[in-house]
Amino acid sequence: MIDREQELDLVNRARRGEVEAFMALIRTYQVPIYRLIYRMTGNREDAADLMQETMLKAYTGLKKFKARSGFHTWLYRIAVNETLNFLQRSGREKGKMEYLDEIDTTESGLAVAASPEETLMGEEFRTGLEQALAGLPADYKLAFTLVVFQGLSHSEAAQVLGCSEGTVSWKIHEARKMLREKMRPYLDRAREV
Amino acid sequence: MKCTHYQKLISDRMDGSLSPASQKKLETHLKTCRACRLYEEELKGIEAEIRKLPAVEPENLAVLEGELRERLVRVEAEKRTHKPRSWGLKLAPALAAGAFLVMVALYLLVFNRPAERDQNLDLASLMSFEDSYLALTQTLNSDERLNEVYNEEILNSIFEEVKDLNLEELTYPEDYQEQTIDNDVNINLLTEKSGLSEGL
Amino acid sequence: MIKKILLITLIGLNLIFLLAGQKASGQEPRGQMQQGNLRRNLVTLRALRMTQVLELTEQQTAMIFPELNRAEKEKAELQRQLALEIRNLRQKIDSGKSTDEEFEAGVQKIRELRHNIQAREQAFEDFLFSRLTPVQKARYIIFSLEFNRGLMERAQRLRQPGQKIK
Repeated sequence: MIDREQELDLVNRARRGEVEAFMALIRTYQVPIYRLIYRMTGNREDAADLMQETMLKAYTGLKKFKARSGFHTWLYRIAVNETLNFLQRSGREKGKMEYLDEIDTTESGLAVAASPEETLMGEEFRTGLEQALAGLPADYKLAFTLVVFQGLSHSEAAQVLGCSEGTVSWKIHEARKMLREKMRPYLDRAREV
Repeated sequence: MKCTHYQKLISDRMDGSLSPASQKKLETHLKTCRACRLYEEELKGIEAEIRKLPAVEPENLAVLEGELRERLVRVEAEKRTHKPRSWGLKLAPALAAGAFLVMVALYLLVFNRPAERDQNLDLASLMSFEDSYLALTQTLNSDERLNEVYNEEILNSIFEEVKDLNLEELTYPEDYQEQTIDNDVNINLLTEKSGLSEGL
Repeated sequence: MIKKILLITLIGLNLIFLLAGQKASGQEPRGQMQQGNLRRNLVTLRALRMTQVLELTEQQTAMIFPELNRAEKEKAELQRQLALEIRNLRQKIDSGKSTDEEFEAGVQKIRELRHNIQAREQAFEDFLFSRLTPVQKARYIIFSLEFNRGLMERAQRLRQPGQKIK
């Protein structure tokens, strides 16, 4: 992990055209960015492509980066824009829960072999959860992913999404409600057991 | 307050975004409301499962990094080729002056130094092929015969390097012959023509 | 294997046909290859030696040479312009008729060209280093120093009549 001072130094060097400084700058964020995009698209190839586009955009737009916000928030913001544009272009985001049933979690490589004993409710629950997550409307999914998966605070997520903290908080609350509803059959079954 | 309001507070608390005052209110409510306790329990159960979901890793991160690096290097190269002026103007004057001095120093070194200082050529300048080339051409241009002899020496060295290659045994399609007439390392056969690989 | 890599190098530099033709017909290595092509010859020699000193793999060679080609083409053009500007500057000094502004403009052009050449060289080196192992990078540094020193020393010896150049 690099500290703030190192980060600014790398930013300045990258602005002067030092490719390696930029590579060092993004190294920590590549995988989290990939995971964020993957959560949004559900496809590995798209996630890899969009991650590359994000980094390229960040490099060419580095002079627009104001050091007021953290570099990672700025990078996330670019990734979010790239991803939303992509979803819009490809017509993949319908913003509705019915999208849910089309998601193929086996393609995503997420189907893992874990015995039901070692988890709360087993593999079935997990598959259902993946589907429920994938089926969240894009803006709710984004807020939820940034905070729950990426560990951003509400305030940081608000910066990334360009909205207020209150909106982030509300969207995550709504996302949790939607997930709970979608997981209702599994939760009920688990309680019976 | 209604339960729906407390449910939002539950969500905020899970993210560590709840003020102490609201936290107190929530705790008081949870003591008396079974439905909200269940709600919180279920959300926590879901979130615990979410944490157990396998983290996706990019396949071939190293390859992706390499590709990105290549694209960035190209971006830099294009910037320099297409906008030399702005580059030059943005440059720290000291750096440019330094570079110029190195050039002049090399030039003076080649022309004016005594022969015994040959071994002490400036190390920093010798790191750069382009600096050395510039100094070299400044020397060679002063003497046409020298230029010719020098070039011949280099050619001999090239032939020395490739003398074992049996180049004459290789046959090439007719159309390649033309490209060699005025070529000046500007056609990249490795990417544009792959028909040769069998010949190798 | 080494032969194959050298051939890839030559093809990458687009020189193989010329060399093959000359060798096959028993010509001396002169003519078109020589005229005005000192730079190309130097770059070829450097590439051939570099390939061997660094012990580049076939894969590395195939990746590096397209970029080397591009870099070389751009630098060659910049060096040509620089040589021209230096000649102009010399003439300005010799004629003694140029104004301050004309000198300024000449100097500015040369400084810009110098920077652009350095920047392009650096960019290629960055690219190259992203493809090399640490040992290869270390070898490259030493190889560069020695090759460049060799260039200068060869010129020095040739300038002194009667001395044989190796």
